[in-house]
Amino acid sequence: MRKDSTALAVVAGSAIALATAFSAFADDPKAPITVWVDANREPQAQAYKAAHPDVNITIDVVDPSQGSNTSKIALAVKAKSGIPDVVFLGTPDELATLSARPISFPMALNTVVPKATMDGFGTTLARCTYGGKVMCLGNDIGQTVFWYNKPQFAAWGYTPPKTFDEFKALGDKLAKEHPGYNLGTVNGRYGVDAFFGSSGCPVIDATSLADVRINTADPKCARVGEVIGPMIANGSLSTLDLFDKNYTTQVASGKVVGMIGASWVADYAFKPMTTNSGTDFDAKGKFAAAPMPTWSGESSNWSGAVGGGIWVVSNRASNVKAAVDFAVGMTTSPDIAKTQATYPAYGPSADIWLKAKAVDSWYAADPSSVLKDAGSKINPADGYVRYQTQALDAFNQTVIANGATDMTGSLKAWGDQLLQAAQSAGYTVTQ
Amino acid sequence: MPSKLATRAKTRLRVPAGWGFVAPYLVVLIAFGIAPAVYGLYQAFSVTSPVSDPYFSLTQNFLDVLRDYRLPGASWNVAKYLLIWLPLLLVVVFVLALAMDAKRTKFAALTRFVTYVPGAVTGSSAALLWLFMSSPAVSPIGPFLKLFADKSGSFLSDQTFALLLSVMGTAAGAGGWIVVVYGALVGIPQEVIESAVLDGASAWDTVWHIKLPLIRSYIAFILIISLAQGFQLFVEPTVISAGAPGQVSRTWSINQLVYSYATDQSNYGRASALAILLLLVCVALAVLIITKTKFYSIGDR
Repeated sequence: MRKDSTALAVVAGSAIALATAFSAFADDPKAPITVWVDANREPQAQAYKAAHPDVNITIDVVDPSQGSNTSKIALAVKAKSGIPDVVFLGTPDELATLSARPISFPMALNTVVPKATMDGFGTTLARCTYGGKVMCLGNDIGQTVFWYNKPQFAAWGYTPPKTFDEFKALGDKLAKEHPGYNLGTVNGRYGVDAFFGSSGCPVIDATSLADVRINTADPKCARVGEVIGPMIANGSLSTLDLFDKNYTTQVASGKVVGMIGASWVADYAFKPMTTNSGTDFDAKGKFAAAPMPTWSGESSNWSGAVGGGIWVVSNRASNVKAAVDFAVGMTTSPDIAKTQATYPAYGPSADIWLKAKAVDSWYAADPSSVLKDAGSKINPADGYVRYQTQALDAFNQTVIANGATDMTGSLKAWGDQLLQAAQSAGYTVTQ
Repeated sequence: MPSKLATRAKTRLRVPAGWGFVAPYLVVLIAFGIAPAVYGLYQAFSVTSPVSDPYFSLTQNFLDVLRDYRLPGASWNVAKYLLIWLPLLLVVVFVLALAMDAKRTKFAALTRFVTYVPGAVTGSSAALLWLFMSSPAVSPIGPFLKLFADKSGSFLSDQTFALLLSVMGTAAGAGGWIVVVYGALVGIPQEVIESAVLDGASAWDTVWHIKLPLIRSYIAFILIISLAQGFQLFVEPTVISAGAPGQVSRTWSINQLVYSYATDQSNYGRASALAILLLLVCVALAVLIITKTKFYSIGDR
């Protein structure tokens, strides 16, 4: 017992000492910084550290799953110790929780990052912005395009759809002529972000930290239901998660001939799922990117955004310059751009990254121009909200669970749950 | 005959010894049981708002969680689970234990061991095992599961989930209880059974009128422990639904809803409020069972 209490006293003592030391370092250009990254971002962070030996950087590789970073930061803020200086968020919607009280974690970056650098992030900055303050820098974006199996399309005489009406017609044709094959999935974020998101259906349309627009009766939501409802019914769209074992086996055996999917779907889903899968299907040289189809009544072929990570700097950072430089370096450095896992959010970095894709023989055709075009057309109706997980869960509980039956009723039920989730998260909801 | 003085001296000696035995448990109980519950109660009265400072309210968090649109669904799921799982567990445990007791052969010893094995696999790894078993694309009984799969090829859904968890909970939990109940049956004095048989009681009569009444308190014991376990269902649905993403609600059980408040929403006040409500329900049910079965009364059984 005594030993325990001594140990406790030592721990408490050193914690107090550390906290004192921490506050003494405030605005100290020599203070060390701590960064939290996921395993995918670790090599780039290590590269940055090696290139900047004068800065004392501690890199912690942390669990990237939804909510994990936020709950750890919330506890650190509560305990007033162990707060990281820079964090990578692979589930960027957490920014909405981190920005709100009682955590109030992010530093506004528009006052410390040069405007010329900011401009390079283009439209991706919109989601990071609350009340004119830019709370994050985009690392990568998951803009959606139409991925399709080019030789298979040619063999069956199909062409990539230009509009969503053509997409639906293609689904009818596929279901009749080649049952068992499908054109992607609409489960969870693959339905909400890729389809409803690109259409501009207001479900997670945050206008500020306390205001959001929700209306699933909007025509922009109804037109999505009219396309995906019949396609779920005839089996040309799946309701399984992209990474569900029951779906990955379909990808591996070549049953998935097309998909409205994020820029990372080819590299991080199709490629690994079809490599050494034990089936006859070899995806090498098969998949190509076609532009997003256009929703009826729209003049532009908007893209949705599925995933895409962000960097957030703590407003409690003691070495502001080092912390901001790290976030800027990770997103804008040309050397890091070459090794980025997915499509960089920073324009000039994206150009560097695309050069490698243009010559990648795994693709059936160079996807770079299609990806670049879609990257600038992400529908601005989506934002980061504090009820993102509930929004997706509610979607699966209503629209997906009911399948194709009574789409109007399902959308209404989804909207009712969204409204309650948003209000429970402290939002004022407008239609 | 010992004098009163000597007895008192003995009692005086016994008291510190008793505390000595209890102390290690007491430390753990206070550190990990009582202190967190008290802190939780304190948290439950602290309301966090995204736009204002945290404030104190006796009722706000409790009202918020009771009004949550996910609570009725989660409560119904847990109720379904308990209604299927508890009777199934009790029937399996008592039928198997009584059968083993009736025929005490070497084969019974082996059966006892075999039934215990699934219980030795802990919750999370058992859940992974069952996830594998219930995924038609990879399961060894895949063709059988495909008969029940929906059009997309998935077997898991909110509808089948309670049933799957009940079967899984029984397979994993029954073994340990069988050993306990069998131990209790062995403890019944042989003379009692023999005299019953001499009086012409059939095997069924001895079970119904002698064995079961004598081990009645074990039913209460299993019920109390299992009810608390069932109400706090968390690991199994979390692991299985993570493996079949998007097929089962992330807040399928009440405890998952508590977890969602704490992690998805960083709202510790509401998480604590719902956890306290859950604790109250479990304690109330335990008290009800204890009084109804006269669990702690020593005579009069």
